[in-house]
Amino acid sequence: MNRPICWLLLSLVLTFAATAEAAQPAAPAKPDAAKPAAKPKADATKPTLHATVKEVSGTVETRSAVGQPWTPAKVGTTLAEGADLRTGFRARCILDMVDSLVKIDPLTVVRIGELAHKDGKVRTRLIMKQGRAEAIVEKEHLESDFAIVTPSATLSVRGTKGVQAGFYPDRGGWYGLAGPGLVQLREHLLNRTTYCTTGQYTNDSALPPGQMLHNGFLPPILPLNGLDPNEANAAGRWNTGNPIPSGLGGTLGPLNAQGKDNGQQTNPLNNITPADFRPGGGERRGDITHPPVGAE
Amino acid sequence: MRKLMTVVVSLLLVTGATLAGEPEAAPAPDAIPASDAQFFAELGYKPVATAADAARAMVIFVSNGTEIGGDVEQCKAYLHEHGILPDGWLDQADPAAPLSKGHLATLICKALGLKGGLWMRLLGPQPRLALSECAYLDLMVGGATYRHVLGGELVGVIDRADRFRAKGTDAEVPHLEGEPSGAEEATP
Repeated sequence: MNRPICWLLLSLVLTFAATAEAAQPAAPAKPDAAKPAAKPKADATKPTLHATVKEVSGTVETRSAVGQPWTPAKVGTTLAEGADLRTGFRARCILDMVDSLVKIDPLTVVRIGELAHKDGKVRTRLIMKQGRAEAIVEKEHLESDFAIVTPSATLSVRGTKGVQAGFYPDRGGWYGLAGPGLVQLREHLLNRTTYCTTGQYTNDSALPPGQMLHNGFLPPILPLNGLDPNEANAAGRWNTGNPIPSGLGGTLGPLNAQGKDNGQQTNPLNNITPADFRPGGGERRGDITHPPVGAE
Repeated sequence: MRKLMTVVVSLLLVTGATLAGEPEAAPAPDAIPASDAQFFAELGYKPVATAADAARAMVIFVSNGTEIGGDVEQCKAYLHEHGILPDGWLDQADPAAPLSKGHLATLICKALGLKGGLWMRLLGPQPRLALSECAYLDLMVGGATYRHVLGGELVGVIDRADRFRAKGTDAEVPHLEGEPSGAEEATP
């Protein structure tokens, strides 16, 4: 056969193949109902418990597992592990979760992550996608391990009755106490932990409650004496050879404005001298009874 | 030379067929959620809220939950009746257009009847002024007016705006009281 004809045939075959592949319609997304229902975990060592809907107001819908249809919740409906619940506008729901009473606020989506006996305790994990929830946890008559898990942090109850937690993606989470007691918050990114007592709250960076109050109510502290040595160096432009940019002046302390001595001037407010880094010199670092270097 | 031409022509044909063969049919629009709970739950998963989402959320918000909204035109008509539109954007926007923070703030200010400060009283709820007012009242997070709104962010704004409106009224969400009744059942 002639060579050009072979090439043409080859190109036509390739063309048809590419056309057929590109024109292939995308596979339609399978509806939720078509998915096989997730089987609830069956563990003989963990007797399963059920949450009961005690109160409903507005549009509240539940489903027993992923893939199951959503049905309106009614008073008396029981929910097991893996059940989802969502509330509409101005809708509320109160769940009796054996060791706790949980109020699900409007516009909330939650899942009962765990609800079972484990190691002699009632272990409850409420996974909250968005929204707010408030809980009263019973710790006097039974051992309880209760936690609310949001996308950014886990709020676990240590010794309290009333806790509240919320999460929306724009503001992040907020966690606190609705009564006296103690809660622990662990954030998921760096595993930082903090505790809140009565009247305190924190966010999903697990900032200490005192820092939260400071950030919310106090102005930033700017005087040079309030900075640590590294910050003072940066603010005063000590230990740098670069001249200060024009327009960046200040009256707080002697600035290294001209970059004198190649920027090797020392910061008069910094008591740490090179002697501290010599062998043996470091022994007195941190000893507050030792006189400062300038007084020797 | 003829061989080279054949190869070039075949490559052009393959490229053209690949480009022309893209599926033209747009994905079918999702069915309109049947309940407000479904609407807000699904909205929380969307990376960007659209004008249609904003219209429906505002209808639910303005009607205190008595209306659950329908398609975009019905929602716009409802908002026109209640004086929320025209706001200069939503009444003309494509239903699939992404919602920006400034436009959402304008809608919230109109729905809540916020008057704002001096400039907002003089100029009306312009996006920048409205966003500042909403950030001041802790309803929204401040920022650039042109930034798109996440689906979950719209849900959060509607929740905070309703709490702001309901504060001090019967619609305020009460604190939880009571005790769990299953303590005896759970004790091993």
